[in-house]
Amino acid sequence: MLPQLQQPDWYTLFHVGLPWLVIFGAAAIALLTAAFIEDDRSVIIPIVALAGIAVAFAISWQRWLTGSVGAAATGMLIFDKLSFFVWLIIFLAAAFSILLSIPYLSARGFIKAEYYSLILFSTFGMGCLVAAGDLLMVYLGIETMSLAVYVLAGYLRERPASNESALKYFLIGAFASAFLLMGIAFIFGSAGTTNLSILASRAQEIMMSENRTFYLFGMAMLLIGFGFKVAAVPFHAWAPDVYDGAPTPVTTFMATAVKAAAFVAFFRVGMAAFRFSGDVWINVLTALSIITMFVGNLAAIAQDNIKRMLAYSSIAHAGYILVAFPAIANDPQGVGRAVLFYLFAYILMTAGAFAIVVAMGLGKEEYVEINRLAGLSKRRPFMAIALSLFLVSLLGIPPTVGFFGKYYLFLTAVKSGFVWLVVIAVINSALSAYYYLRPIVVMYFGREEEVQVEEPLSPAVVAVIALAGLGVAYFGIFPANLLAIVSRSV
Amino acid sequence: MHWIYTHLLTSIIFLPLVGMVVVSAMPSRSARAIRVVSLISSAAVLILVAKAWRVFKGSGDFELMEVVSWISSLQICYRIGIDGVALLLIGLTAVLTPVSILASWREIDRNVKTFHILILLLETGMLGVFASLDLFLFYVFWEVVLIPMYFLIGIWGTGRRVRSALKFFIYTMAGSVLMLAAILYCSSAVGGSFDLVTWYAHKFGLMEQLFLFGAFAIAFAIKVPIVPFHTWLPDAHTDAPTAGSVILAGILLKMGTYGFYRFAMPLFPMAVVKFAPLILILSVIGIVYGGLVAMVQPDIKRLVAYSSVSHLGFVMLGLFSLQPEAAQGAVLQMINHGLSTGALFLMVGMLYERRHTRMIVDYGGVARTVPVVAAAFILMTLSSIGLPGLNNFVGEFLVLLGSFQTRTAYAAVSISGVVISAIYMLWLVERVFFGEIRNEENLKLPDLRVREYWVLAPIVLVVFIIGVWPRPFISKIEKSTNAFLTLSKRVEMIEPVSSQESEVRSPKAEKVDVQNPPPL
Repeated sequence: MLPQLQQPDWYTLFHVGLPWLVIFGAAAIALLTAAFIEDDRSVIIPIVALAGIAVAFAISWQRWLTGSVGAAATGMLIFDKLSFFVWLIIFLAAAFSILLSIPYLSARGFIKAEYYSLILFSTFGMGCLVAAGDLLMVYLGIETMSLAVYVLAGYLRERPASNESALKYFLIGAFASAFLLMGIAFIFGSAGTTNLSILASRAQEIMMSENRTFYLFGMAMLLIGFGFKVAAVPFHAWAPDVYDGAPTPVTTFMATAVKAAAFVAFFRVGMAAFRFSGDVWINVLTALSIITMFVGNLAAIAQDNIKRMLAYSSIAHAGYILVAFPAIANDPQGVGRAVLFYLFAYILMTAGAFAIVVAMGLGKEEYVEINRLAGLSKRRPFMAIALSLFLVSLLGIPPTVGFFGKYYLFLTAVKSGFVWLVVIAVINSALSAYYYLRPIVVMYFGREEEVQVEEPLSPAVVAVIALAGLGVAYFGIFPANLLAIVSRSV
Repeated sequence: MHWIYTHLLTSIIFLPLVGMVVVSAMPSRSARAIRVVSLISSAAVLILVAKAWRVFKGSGDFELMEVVSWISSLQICYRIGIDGVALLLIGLTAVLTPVSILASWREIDRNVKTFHILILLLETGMLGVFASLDLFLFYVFWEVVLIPMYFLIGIWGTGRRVRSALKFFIYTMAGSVLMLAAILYCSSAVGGSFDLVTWYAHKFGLMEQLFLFGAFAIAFAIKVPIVPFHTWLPDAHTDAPTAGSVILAGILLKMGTYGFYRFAMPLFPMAVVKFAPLILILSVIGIVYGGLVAMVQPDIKRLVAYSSVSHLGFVMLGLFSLQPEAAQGAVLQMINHGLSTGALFLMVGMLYERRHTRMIVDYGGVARTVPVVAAAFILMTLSSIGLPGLNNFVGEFLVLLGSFQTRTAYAAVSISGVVISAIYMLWLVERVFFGEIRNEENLKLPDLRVREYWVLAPIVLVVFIIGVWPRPFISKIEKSTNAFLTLSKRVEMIEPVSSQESEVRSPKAEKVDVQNPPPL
């Protein structure tokens, strides 16, 4: 007994869904172009990919301007402002990853068409995920997104760590998908629908019925599935190994775009389901947030490898984002805004930090040990300043965008009365100072030893660092405009 | 020029930042030009502060207010303004920063450019802290101060500088994040506003006040530092370069006491009543303990650092006595300590530049080789121990006079602090400057250079002025401290509210009348 859904005609569907089609088309073109290009080092394919992203970005921006909030649902995909805004930030993250990939792969003589196609296919999956209006679409989106990333994680096939990374990510990802599917099945069984808006409207009724147990069980499964995808503790164990083993641009992609898409989908599902499920879910989310922050921050302190450190830091940041989630029952709009703002901020600073890690991998010898950053302030003063800026922003010191994002998240939680959760979160912020400052100590306070490493400059890396750096500084001091955009999206 | 006069406070705060931008554009080879530019820009701040001093009426309200909307959807404004106390502290900052730059002329010989960029950024941060009337803005400036100081200690410091810098950072950060949580809570409790004056008018419940005061107080107590939180101080002061120690002791510690004066006490008067005994006891312990520990230090710089713990105890005693004279004395003591201890650190730096040691045993009898340094050091010692006619006497006397009326027992014990400070400082002077010259190297130390005269002259001048004629200073702060006391003592005006938990869960946004400032 599904109610009749609004059935748009083909033209309308084509019109609003153009960004999706453009990305899909760009992926296909990139793959086909490769057939006619013999030089493995040619940059035509990444340029095709970037051009596709740029076109899709422009269209999405236009659709965002004309779009509305919570409208134009076609059952499977929701074409509202939220979808288009998240599309924009995902394009940003994908463009950063592609830019970083160019020098990284060419330093290894490894430019291959399928690499960029895979990034675009994964991006396409993210688009479906963030716009999903149905749990089945959530599942399809996650699978499309993840399958491409499994391959990308193992792209450096001569390197055992990369293979290990891919296999681990695949096995854990498949495991998580199974949980997700199981959860969807249980929810369908108890509620009779997988459509998110119907689910939201009938949630109260289901919670009163005898199917309540199955419904809640289904949501538990969903939560576990999302927990794996956003790397929330205790479903985080894959993250450090996968982040460490994957090629650095792919790690950037996973840490920024994949994480953002998963969180937005989590938010959409949360709006439909978790919001109406009573205190038990609030408590579960609170506990999840606390344990994620503590484990992420404490484990990051012990890391000597900057990629692993950033992996644990991304776990900790997932914890910070989860701080706002318990407020979803009380203030769903506020949570959405805070989460979106934070995801944007997080993408800027994380992509920036990873850009420097990519630069560390462009020399004769790739290195990831924090201690070998010693003397970077002499070799590459601007790079050292930029890395310090990104780390300080991740740490949440004003006036950077990281501070304001965190501030906004915590404010949302406090407004809904989660004061103690915020106190725990700010204590975690202070804890994180210890590891975020370590690279700074090494770069600036260390003795200058003999330099064995180098970080050659590449225009693409410089562009990413500059863009991310400007964004971190500008939106840190003047967040008002961005805030207005975010507020109009939810 | 007109714009500068109408936006005097903004010009004061951001002038160092302009200097910083100029310095960053200069080539790092031209070290001398960089020093000159940063000296000029910090001296220009002093000139503007002098202008502000003339304009300032001392009405007890906030003056020179400027309000511009910053993040309108969250009701965050760029809202600045000063009362007499903030004016004095801004003046102190404006005096000590050029002095520190001048003092580092020879000491800092590597990364000169970075050093001056950081010093100027630090100055903007400190001035902003004292001028902010919007809690969000205040927190931003408060944290901005942290980063440059961390680098100053870590890059140009001595000894275990990395460890000291980290310790300084983590301690301060741990305190300030709790304050952030408190700020978030307060703003949602008052309906989203960050305006300090709105917060003053809000009636927080008793339990709220206790927790919020606790969160603010820990942040400020770490900065002051009040005794159990003081362990970062000796390390940071000792290992910092001279300019870092001067600014740390002279200004950064005052950010803590200023925080109590401006935020923690007037906002949460009921908590002040409950917490006063605890803080008073800790302050008195700090006065005595700091002095006793200073007495046994073998390192001159460490000795002066511990003496700060003792002196700041008097400031806290004065504030928590909740008595007009004591409060004035406390504010005056903030300035006095900045001047005297700042000057002592400067001279320790001068001695270190000449002799490359800070150990007391390596000196002895150097008054014969560097008589002018010795004279200046003795003058500052006398000022520090409260000789009548010099600045510290006025402040300490007012604090004790006031606190004897309301907190007799605490005042009685803290008098011993005055005696102890005389012991350790005079003993230090005796061991360093008098007696036989035992060490060959002490025979050929050069005396004060022209530049160093200029470093010390402004401080010595102000020390005498405050000592002999404190009236102009007290007249600036009198009404402000009275306003502070009215706010901090308004316990009887608030009806006891048992719990406001329910109100917090759904803050009323429409309750507060927010000003609608022009957009940025």
